[in-house]
Amino acid sequence: MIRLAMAFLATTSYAVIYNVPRRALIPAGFVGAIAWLVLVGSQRLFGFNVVAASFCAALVVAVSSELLARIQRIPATVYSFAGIVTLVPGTSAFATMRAFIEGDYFTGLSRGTETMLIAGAVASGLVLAGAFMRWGRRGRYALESQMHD
Amino acid sequence: MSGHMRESLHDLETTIRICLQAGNLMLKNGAETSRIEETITRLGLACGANHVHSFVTPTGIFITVHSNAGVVSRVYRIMGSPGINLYKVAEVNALSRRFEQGECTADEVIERLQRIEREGTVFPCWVTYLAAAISSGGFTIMFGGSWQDFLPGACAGWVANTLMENLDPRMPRFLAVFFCAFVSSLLSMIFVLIGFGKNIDKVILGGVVPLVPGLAITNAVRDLMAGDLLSGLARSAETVLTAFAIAVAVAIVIVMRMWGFTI
Repeated sequence: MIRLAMAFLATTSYAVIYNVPRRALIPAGFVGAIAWLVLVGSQRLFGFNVVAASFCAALVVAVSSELLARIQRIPATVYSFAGIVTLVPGTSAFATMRAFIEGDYFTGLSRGTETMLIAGAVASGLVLAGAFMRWGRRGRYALESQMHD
Repeated sequence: MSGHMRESLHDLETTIRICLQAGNLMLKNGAETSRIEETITRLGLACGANHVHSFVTPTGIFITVHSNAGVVSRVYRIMGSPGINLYKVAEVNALSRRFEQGECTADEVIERLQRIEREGTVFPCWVTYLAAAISSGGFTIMFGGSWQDFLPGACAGWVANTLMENLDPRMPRFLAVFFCAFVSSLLSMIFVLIGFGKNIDKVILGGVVPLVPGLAITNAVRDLMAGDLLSGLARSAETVLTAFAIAVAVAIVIVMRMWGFTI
């Protein structure tokens, strides 16, 4: 519970560094906290592995930030980037590097693969949810310019 | 389209000036490519142009405006980025929608754009610095650190962020990130060695959080998804380079520790 509050606080502060508009600050913090909750919760409750949990968390981040963007009429990126930072595989990247430095290449390769898989899962979660949410929304001006010439 | 119906055709020069300035502002402050192109097109059409073609990349903007008065093309080269400010992105976006609805005139848009450009950050400087410290401390805990790791992580994050903002802007980005990450993780190691903080890896991880290119990752993914492959790949490259700079800096500190670095 305290860690959840920490996730909220950390995400909100991270958003402040990038000068997020004031009224989007608290929602951005919530996106980060929910992302962290899904990441940890799905691993503990349903026994997901890290990769699957990161994928689900990224899905949740993308969907919730698109919804918030429509409610508050602020670009969706403003919410999603802070949520994504909580999913960055820092721990396993660090372990990878450490293993390689210590000459333990097998551990390094396995942790490195894990890092790559997590990064891929986060990206694909974002892509999938984002693509669904934005289906047909960007067509207007694109068609307009194609009609010319 | 409301632009076609507007009776007074604004001067082509004004139109292209508005489009370029809005695009420049959005690009420098961290908007995704498809949004910038859409905003430019929206502004141009609202000014009374018949067609607007825009092509935005992370290092330049190309715009062509067709109107009854003629055709004008411009190229605008973007050099460096002074710092990301999402508030400005949201403001320009909202402004373009208000202009499209006919709620303000072209002169007002020009004036407002200039005001947005001159505006500083949303929060005072010290709030940003404090926020960097808190987020670093928070991430230290979230990565699995104990409570004793909060403060050293926060200090390291504060140093990383403050250093990054006050470095010479002409310094290549890779070198700047590398330098900040190095100082921050060296500091983390020293903190843990003198008994201020427990888990060296968590403190180092938390300390480099302000340097993690979270927005660049998000924008890269969104650009690729929206079909702006050129910008998407360029931003991905930027992300990978930044991550690499952090990794190298942290690696050097770990090696120093292994060779028995003590105070």
